Formats: sequence, structure tokens, C-alpha cells
Amino acid sequence: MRHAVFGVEEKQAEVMVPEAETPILEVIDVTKTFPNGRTVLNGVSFEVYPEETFVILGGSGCGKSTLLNILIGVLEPTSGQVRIFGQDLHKLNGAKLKAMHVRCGMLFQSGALIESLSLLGNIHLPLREHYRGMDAAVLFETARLKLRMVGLEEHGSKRPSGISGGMKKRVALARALALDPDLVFADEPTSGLDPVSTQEIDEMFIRLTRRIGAAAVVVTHDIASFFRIAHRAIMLGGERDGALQGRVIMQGKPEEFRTSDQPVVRRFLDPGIPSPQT
Amino acid sequence: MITTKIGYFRLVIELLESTVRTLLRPSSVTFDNVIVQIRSIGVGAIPAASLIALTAGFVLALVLELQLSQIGKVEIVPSLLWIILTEQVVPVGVALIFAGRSVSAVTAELGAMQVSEEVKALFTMGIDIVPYLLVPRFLGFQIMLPIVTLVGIYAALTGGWLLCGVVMKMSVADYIYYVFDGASFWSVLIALVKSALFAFLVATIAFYKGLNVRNGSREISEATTQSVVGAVIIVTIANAVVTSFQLA
Repeated sequence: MRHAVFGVEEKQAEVMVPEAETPILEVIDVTKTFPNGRTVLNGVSFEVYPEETFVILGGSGCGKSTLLNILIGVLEPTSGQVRIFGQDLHKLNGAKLKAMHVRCGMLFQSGALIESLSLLGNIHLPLREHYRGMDAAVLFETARLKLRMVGLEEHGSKRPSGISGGMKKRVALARALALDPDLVFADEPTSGLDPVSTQEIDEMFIRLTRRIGAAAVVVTHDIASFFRIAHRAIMLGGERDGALQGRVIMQGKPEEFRTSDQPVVRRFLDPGIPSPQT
Repeated sequence: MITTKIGYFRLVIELLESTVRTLLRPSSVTFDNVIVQIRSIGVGAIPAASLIALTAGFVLALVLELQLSQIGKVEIVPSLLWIILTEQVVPVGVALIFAGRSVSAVTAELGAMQVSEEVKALFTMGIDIVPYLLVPRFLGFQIMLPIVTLVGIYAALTGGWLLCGVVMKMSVADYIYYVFDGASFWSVLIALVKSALFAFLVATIAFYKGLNVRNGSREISEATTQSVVGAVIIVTIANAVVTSFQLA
């Protein structure tokens, strides 16, 4: 089922939670222990549904990046399972893994744009690699269209090193959406940006992902972004949370987080609240 | 997919498999990418390699002329130049130039791509890293090191002629006659086989060190140093082994 939701505003009240159906992503009891014996994720479980924007929240050292690396297949969990589109991600290889990646986009914190390519070339790259038989002019026009969607069409010939951090995030978003994925992962999409740019990226992110009907999994510690973009979220315990580190502290909708009386959640959402230990 | 640490032999196997697949189905690799790598890995090395080979040929001819003139055998200087330059000095010298120039560049580039998550980004786009990143660079080394070796042989023999012509007053025709008097084109084949072997070794060291960089600029510089030193050592050892088998 694909129905585009245009013009989504940042106000939480206007964000419609998509109706539940078969999950597009299932994280089942995932634990990750590194060779040094440190367990960074402990029994993490959640599900993400089509067209949903799901946020993973947490402070430093809570394992957000590790979890994202597991979700994109770069790391393997020590135990547990990640199922994307009904398939066990870490049992896929070769053509099946590639086909799965084609259905997923990834927006990296740094942008991770290929320095040797122009901005247009970066967006053209996944199109060229996955649609080899297609007319080059059509692929370039598609890449140009994606660049126009993020408002950077006139900068297509520039190199990544010659643009600002905010522009890099926008190009990275265009590249993540180049293949019209069903699921988009984003790692701290607004980190390092000023509040105005943060809001612009958030609005662009939700507008574009919902336009193509994609679900999104966003890792962030930006509270304002979380309330702007999330349908649902989980919060992972950080290094200050003792035995809760790497565990799911809370799962729910943004308004449930807002009204939560859990001290750890309230302290994270409002750092002005003193810690119980202090 | 190479996004986590990878062993040298696994990398070599994946690279060879992927290269064979590419050669059987050339449409699977972007031709422009190969041309870019040929240019950056090899074409840029031609001026330095030519100059070094020219001076090496001149100096070797000078040393031989000084020694052989004492026993009245200066006419064999050109043929000795042919054997020493073609089979030993130029293939090893050009491989060392590639180690200093292209191996360091490729290691640093791949290392920087790891640190900036470009390699991870390619993986998440469903793009195979070996055919996209490594095969064009591997072909760049494999095509250009033998070609630059041939250019180097020509430059080195020209350097030898500068000495023979200026000091020994030998004409170009005589020089060519003495160079090829008893010379075997087997020497050129040996030079090409050696340079292809050296290209394989230095390229795989550069890939291995570059792709295993993880944490920041310091690790990039360490990997670059290690790959250059490793490439220099492996080229000299490989040359000794090949020469031993050849002369045994």
C-alpha cells in the first residue's frame, strides 16, 4: 500500500500514524557484545511499519550507532535477529543482499558523499549501478530531479568538499532516496546544524520520505527533531543509566514520551531536570 | 562485501574472482573509472620513471665503462646495459617508483574513504566494493606498470647511449648494434612478467592496508607508511626469488 502524504508539518498533532500492517522491519531480541566483553545492546526489540517514521533515541554510549550498523548489515548481532521485508538480514548474501539494499536508503551523519564524484555524480551513482541497461540521459535526468527535490539543482557540478554541512546532508538525503526505497535509515541527520537548518532538514526529510511512501528509521539525540518527525520511538539507556545501558527504556509515541513519568526519560527530554543521584 | 576488517588472502581471492568476472563481462565495470585509474596510477608516473631510468642508465654505463676499459672490453658495455637494465634495474626501479607514488596514493585514498564512511555508503547502496573500487585500480596497476617499465627500458638505454656517445664516441648505429648483439628479447618478456607480478603485489598491499583503516587520519598515515615499506620489501624479495629461479 502506497499513498503519499504531502505537506506534513512539524507539529506533532498533524502527524498521522500510519495504519498498522505487516512490519517492514523487525528487530527481535538483538544483543551485541564486542570482543572486549562490552555489551552495548541488550535484548533490543521493536518493529517498524510501512510509511512510519521511527526514531531511536538515546544519550551517548547507548549503542544507537551500533544498532544502526546492525540494521544496515555492516555489523552482525551477537544474538537476536533483524528481519527486513520478511527476510533475515544477516543470512542474506550476494544478489539477495544487494536486492535488499536497493530497497533501503541510508543517510549518514557525515553525508559520506563520494569525494571523487560531483554532487550530481553521487546521486547518479546508485542509479547507474542498478539500472545499467537504461538510457544514460534518463538516469542523469532522474538524478537531476532528485537534486532539484532538495533544492540544489544548480550546484550539481560541485564537489562535496566545496559545499556546507547542511548542503551535504541534503545531497546525502537525495542520494538515499535516489532508488525510491521502501525503507530509509538516517544517522543523526541534523547533527552539527544550526536550529534553522535542522528544521529545514527535518521538514525536507519527512516531506520526501512520505512522498515516496517510505518508512524511516532515524537515530537522533535531538529532542526537537524527534518531536517533529516521529510517529513512534524507542529510547535506549546510555552510559549514565547503569544496568539499563543498551536496553530499551521506553517505546511509544512522542506524546507518550512527553507525558512519561520515568525519571530517565524525563531527564533525557529535559536536561534541566536534576538527576536522582545528584 | 568489505566493510569489516578483511584478511589479505580473502581480499586477494575476492579481487581475482571479481577481475576475472569483469574481464569476461566488461560491461560490469565502468570504463571511465578504469581510464581515470590508469591515468592517476600510471600515466602520472611516466615522467619520474623516465628521468630516473635515464640517469640510472647513464650512471650504470659510466661505471661499466670505467671498469671494462681497464681490461679493454668497452664494446660489451651496451650489451651488459641491455641485460642489467632490462631484466633487473628497470622493472625493480619502476615498481619502487609505483610503491612510492601510486601505492601511497591508493592506500591513503581508500583509507580516507573508510574513515569518511564512503565505503560503508557504497555497501548500503548495494554496490559491490571490489568491482567498483578495487578492480579499476587493479587494472590500472596491471596495465600501467608493464607499460611504464617498457618506457623505462627505452629511457635507460637512452641514458646509456648518452654516456657511450659522449665519452666513448660511439655512434648511435654502433650503440644499437652492440646493444642487440647477442641480446635476447626473452629479457623483455622477463621484464614484463616481473612487472606484472610486482603490480599484483604492490596493488594488493595498497588495497589491504587502505581498506583496513578504521579510525582517523593518524591511522591513514600509518597505513600509508606500512604499505609503501611493505611494497618496497616485497618487490625486492620477489625480484630475488624470480631471478634465482630464472638463473637456476
